[in-house]
Amino acid sequence: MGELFRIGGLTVLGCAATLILRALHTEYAFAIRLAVLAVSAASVILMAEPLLASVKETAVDHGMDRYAATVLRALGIALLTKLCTAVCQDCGEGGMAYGVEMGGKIAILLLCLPLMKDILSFASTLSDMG
Amino acid sequence: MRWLFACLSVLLLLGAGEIQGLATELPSEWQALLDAMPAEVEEGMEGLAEATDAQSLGESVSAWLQVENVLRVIGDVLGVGCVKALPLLGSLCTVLVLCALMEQMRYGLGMGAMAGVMSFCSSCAVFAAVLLPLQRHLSSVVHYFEQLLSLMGAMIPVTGAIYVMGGNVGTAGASSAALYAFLGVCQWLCASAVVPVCSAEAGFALIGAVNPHVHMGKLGKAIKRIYIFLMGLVMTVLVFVLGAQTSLSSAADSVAARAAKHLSASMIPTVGGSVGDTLRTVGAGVGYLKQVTGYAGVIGVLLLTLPLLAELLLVRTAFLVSTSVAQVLGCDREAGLLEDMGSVWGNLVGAVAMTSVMFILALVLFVKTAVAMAG
Repeated sequence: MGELFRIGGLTVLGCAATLILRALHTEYAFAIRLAVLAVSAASVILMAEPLLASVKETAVDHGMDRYAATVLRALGIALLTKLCTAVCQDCGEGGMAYGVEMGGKIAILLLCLPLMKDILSFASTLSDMG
Repeated sequence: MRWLFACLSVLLLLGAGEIQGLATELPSEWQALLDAMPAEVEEGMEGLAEATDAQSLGESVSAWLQVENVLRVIGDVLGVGCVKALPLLGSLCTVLVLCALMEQMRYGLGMGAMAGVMSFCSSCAVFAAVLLPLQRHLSSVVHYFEQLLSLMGAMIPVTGAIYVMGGNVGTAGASSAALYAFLGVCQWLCASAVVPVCSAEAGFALIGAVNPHVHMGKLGKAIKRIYIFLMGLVMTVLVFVLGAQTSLSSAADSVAARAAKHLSASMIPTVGGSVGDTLRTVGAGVGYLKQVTGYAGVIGVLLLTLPLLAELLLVRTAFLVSTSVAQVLGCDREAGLLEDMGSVWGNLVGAVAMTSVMFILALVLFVKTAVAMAG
């Protein structure tokens, strides 16, 4: 709860600082925005660490650690991509945002490659069985 | 064929009260009968493996046929199924929680363009989690069918030889042989059709889960309907043939018979009703086996056929439960995939139930023929 107040307070202060600096020094406003974003993201990741550890432990107990790792990494990639896209769109760079999105999608597809190989080898086993 | 003679000789030797005075050496293929028992069940049947002649075997069987031993073996059979079904349920629930987390992130945080690829990732993860048990069960079912088909294939010519030895090549012999051949053909149909149908259904379920815009799920359901129709037709013809023939008798209609029929219809998907219709004949056949071989023979036959059926039913139940969990967690796409996979297991259960019924009927016919010729 305290962590949430800290993150919320920091973000609100960052917004206020950005609004003030935008009128005076636009480049500093962008730097403030990036700094607040980085600190907030790091705080959120630290806050989520016990949840991720608990999910990992449960997945290992049930032999699902490989699949859990894939899904969690995909989630992380999606969040990072969303963050970068939002920053690009805030700056009015829609093209760059689209490029980041494409990179994120391809990264998740690459993560799914071992799963797809398992499915394809299973399909070939079935065809041998039939 | 040697395995078949070993089974028959052992079943006849195990006739209650007939083997106490004998000291006949057991055939060398007796070990093959023990090897056919599931390993988890064979552990509980100590004493039977160490028997070297019919007398010691009879003493071991008499000592083993205590109620607590029989209940323990039944518990072991069900326990083996639970041991395989419960971890699968736990694994599926773990993956579903992750998918639900991803789903909430997708909608709650407005992932927008990333939503599609995240759905693809979670569907692949769920399907990959069920691949290993599906592959293992398909291998077990194929192996089970191969065992039964080889037995059925061996019984037909041996029965013909027994008829010739007995000098009976008349109408009675011909009708029993026809029933035998019919059972063999039906069993071959079930065994040949179930793996391709299950494979196709699983593949279409995955395609539908990964890309809902490609409506392959309907094609999978159409294939399943055709399969259910054909298997239902086979069982209907079997019920008709059983009603018309005289070689195998039916047990009297009773409350227990109706309860068993209702239970079969509710537990066994696709062909449960048809299997229930044959249970009176199966019950009468098992009763005849009990007269010839005693309880040990009946338990031996049931232990050959029931463990795989129990395991498949428990795994199917695990899929049904995980489907409900997925729906509660809001993972609709994964729920559809798990429901389709439960349907695949339902086809396996139906095929194993049908082939088990046909095997028991064929075995009863074989034992009747052999006992009649020996008499």
